[in-house]
Amino acid sequence: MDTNDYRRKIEQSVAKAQARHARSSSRMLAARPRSAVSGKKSPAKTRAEELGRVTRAEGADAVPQAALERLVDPKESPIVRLAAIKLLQQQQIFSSVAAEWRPAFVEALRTAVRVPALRAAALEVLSLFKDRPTQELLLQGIRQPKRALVPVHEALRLLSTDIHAGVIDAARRLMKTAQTRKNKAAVVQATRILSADPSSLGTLEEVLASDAYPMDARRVAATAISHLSPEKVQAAAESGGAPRARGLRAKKGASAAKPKGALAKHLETLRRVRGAATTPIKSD
Amino acid sequence: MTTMKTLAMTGGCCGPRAAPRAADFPGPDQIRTEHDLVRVVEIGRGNSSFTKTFLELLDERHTVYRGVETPAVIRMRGALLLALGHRALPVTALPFVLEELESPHDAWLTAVAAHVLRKFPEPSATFAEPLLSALFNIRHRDEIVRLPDDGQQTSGAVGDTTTAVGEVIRTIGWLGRAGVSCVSRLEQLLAENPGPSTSPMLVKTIEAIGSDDRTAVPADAWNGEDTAWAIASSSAHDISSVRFQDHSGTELTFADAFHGRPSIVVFFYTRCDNPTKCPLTMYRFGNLQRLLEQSGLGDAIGMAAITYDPEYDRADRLLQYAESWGAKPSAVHRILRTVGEFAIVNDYFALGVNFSASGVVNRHQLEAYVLDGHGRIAHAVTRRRWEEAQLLGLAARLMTPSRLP
Repeated sequence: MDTNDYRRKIEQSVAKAQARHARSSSRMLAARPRSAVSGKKSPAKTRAEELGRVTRAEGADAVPQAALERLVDPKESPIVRLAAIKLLQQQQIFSSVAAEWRPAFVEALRTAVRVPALRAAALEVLSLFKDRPTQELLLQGIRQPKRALVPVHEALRLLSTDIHAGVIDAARRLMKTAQTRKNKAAVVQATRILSADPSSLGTLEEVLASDAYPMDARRVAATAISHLSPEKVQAAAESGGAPRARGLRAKKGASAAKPKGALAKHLETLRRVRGAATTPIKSD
Repeated sequence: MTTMKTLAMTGGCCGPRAAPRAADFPGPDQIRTEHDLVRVVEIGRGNSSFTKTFLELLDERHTVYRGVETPAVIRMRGALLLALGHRALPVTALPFVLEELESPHDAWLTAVAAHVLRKFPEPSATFAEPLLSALFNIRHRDEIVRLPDDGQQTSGAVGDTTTAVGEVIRTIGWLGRAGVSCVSRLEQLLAENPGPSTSPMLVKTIEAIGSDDRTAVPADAWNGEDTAWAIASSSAHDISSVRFQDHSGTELTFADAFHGRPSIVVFFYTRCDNPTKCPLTMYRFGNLQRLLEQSGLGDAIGMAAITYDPEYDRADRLLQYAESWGAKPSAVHRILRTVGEFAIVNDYFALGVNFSASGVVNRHQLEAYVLDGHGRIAHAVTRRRWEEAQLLGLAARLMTPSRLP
């Protein structure tokens, strides 16, 4: 037997052994999902890892049954349920039958929202799905903070994925209340949302012009104005404008100040970028 | 108090119960809120004397949709469709039902439309295409839905649990022989292995269509075009001087844009998130342009796509959007936004659109118009999906002989 034949024979036997091993391990993994993952004797972290292996073994062409079952089980540990959310979120991209099990996934996530440990992860996915019942819950929380599932700024961020969900109106109302002014994170999120609302141009100018607002909100306002009304960025950069009274002057010492430092730099960049981008287009 | 009044008007709970009549209740023009609408739906569902009221409430221009958000619009329209299809779906409701199937976006509303279509007395081959559109477009947005009679959509509501896909497939099966044109598409979907619950439903449906021994229902058992194609009367208003800005930033009047040659006008907005509405409209606008070029009518027939959202859709955004969907805006085929009041254009075309409190479009129908050389509306194709060749044909008929190629 020459060396080449010998090498080929060895390669074939290695390939056979590998194939055998792969078949038996996938059979093993597929055969033990219920017991290995749902058996509560092992620690939650171990079972979460096992769930990952089982889901991978189920493959992209099958419904990820094990993960769905773990997610809907109210007695399951939040660690395992959280792992199930992450796995199912991934499988929504890779699974060839994702459309088939999407309804079950959405339903399970709506239930998971009620569990504090799962809430953030579940809301994140449901918001991306533009889930109407979830949007209604978030809006209700903004209106009645005592019943809120998440803080106002978080609710605004989650709602901002869908302009048809009533988020612009919610942001407008928030910007009109003195109470919100104290919540810097909420002001930044509300400003970000209003940047898609041409009729909030006045509010955005006000945010940009007043140092009573957080710097992040002012930067967001500047970017928004440069999109909604590019010529106004120039004016803002030069004058700074004057804050108007709309119940928003809660902070003492709020003043009209010519932008300086980071904000001035930001405005200058916007002016340059917009100037280059809008040359061929006439604006109102 | 409200319940007492309702009971009194309907004969009470014990005495002889006279059917409520629509004339005894506030007319559609007095219904201003979702609450009012739900009350009328509760009283009038399945009662044919309320059909006219329900149909008027389905008009997107109705005040009940003004200033509310999209979820409320969905709830109200779903409740109205369920009420109309409570017993037998009237023929006048078909355009609204088929519209939801042709341009599906919300799983619950799609399920409602598929569900009530089965209450139509006769299956018709004209239902096949809208149902296929619903099946292929809602698959990736599907959810578990409940179909209670009161039209509530909350996840905790009572009612039969189903999915939009399940309802649509069931309705395709209900078509029987009338759904024969669906078979090849269903087989194609089956071959792609859609999943362990969808596959058996598809097999059952294909069998149901194949084994239906009724004589095939002719495609025109219900002539959809009667209601889908309306010839609009020209508005009395003169809007020649209304100002627009086009995709290049050039300002022009309505007369500049639409006088001198017949035109095809469609409506859209760039923030529309229903792929079967505005993105498809703009894609078809591009197709129409190519068709005009091929027919040698490139400059003889004007075209315009006008945005419902002129404040947000600035010139640069319009250009970018049109190009991203394959349209090539030009001086004859423009993408337009109104400068100033959109309401004048809205009234002139009687557009099927409404807006939320924040000014964002909360609902719109599909709509295309053919204008004559004086900018007067000659034809309107509304609610149902328009076809490029049909619009072209209608516009070509308006051309003066000297302009024909």
